[in-house]
Amino acid sequence: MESERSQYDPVLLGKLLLNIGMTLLHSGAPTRRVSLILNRVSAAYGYRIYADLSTRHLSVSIREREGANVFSGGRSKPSLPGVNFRAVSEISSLSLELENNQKPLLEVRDELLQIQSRAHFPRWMVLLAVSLAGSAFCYTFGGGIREMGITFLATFCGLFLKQQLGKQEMNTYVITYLSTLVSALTIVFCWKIGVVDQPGQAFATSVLYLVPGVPLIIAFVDLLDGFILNGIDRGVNALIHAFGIAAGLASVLYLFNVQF
Amino acid sequence: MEIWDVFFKGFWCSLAALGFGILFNAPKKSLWMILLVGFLGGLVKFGLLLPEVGASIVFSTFLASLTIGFTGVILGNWRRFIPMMITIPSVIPLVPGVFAYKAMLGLMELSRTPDEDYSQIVNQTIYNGTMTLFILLAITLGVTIPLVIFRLEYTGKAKSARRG
Repeated sequence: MESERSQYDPVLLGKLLLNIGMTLLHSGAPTRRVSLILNRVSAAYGYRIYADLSTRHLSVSIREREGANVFSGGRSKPSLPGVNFRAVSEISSLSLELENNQKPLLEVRDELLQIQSRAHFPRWMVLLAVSLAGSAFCYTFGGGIREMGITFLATFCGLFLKQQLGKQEMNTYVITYLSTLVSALTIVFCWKIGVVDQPGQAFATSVLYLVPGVPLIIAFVDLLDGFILNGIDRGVNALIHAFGIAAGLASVLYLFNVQF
Repeated sequence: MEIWDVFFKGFWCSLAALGFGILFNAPKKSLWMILLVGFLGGLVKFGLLLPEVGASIVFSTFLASLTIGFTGVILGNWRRFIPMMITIPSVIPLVPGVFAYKAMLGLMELSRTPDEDYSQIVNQTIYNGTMTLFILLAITLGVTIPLVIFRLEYTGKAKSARRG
């Protein structure tokens, strides 16, 4: 059994774990889930690991069964976590598969690279689906067909800008602020040319695509799981985004003196 | 008549959930689950808000997100998806956008010299802000209770041995 295990190079396994961990942390996985997957993969190859998980840094030490340290390494990524549920899901399935069936590490690495390179949904589809979601919100908050129409337009413009700015690696909070500004300006424009009389619902719902739902919920999950620091980190991140949205709306409301 | 309105709102909630599922790049095979769970959430929320039932908005949101949480975990475990991928897009339609917006408008109104209307605005702003806070809390608790308290999530074989 031991000789069979020695074919798995701990250094390669360590690098793989760091890559898996960083991808998960940056795709919107809760900390407990990341820790679980890392432990699962390392146990599948007969090693124990000690991992230090933060939201932007990961350190992993690997130990053999006898207790000797065979690998220590860390990896950092300065950017703030994004959301990519498909990557989390596929890595999770991959780890479950490894639990039943050890694969050569190089093969696992290739699979991981494939998962990372897999594209998101096409951009036009995201734009249309999220804009439709925006107008759906408007309906559930009591908006009529015209409000729904302008919410669709405002969400479309704001999200388009967000995607565009996201490519230039701008500060994410500034992106949230500017996207809110564009969405709110679109509503003001439609209101001024007389498409709607009461822009209240459209204002409130046109920026909901920017709501940091994932960090907010994961923050609570982390806090309740006992990962207090990560929970606070994510929670504050979500709060700053929410503040960015409020600031964007407030700027437009002040500028155009919108009454409610 | 109003029952149909509830169904209709549930339908729009599920469309909103689908939009967010696509934004978060959820796996294609989980999209129908997001549609279904989002619909259920909308149904529970707006069903409880009917005047015949008369539940408060915080309570109905809590029950709706609890429904989303449990159905999401059950569906997720069934197809080996991480439940959170189904529940997070589905609860976003429950976010108290209008309350948050009104609370913010109220705060902006408060930044002026006080006059006779001032206390009225203070009351309104505190009401809207508190509602926003409690609805958000209800949403997050509703989604996390099945995951954290009941530990219903599938975590692979011999899970107790690996939870360190």
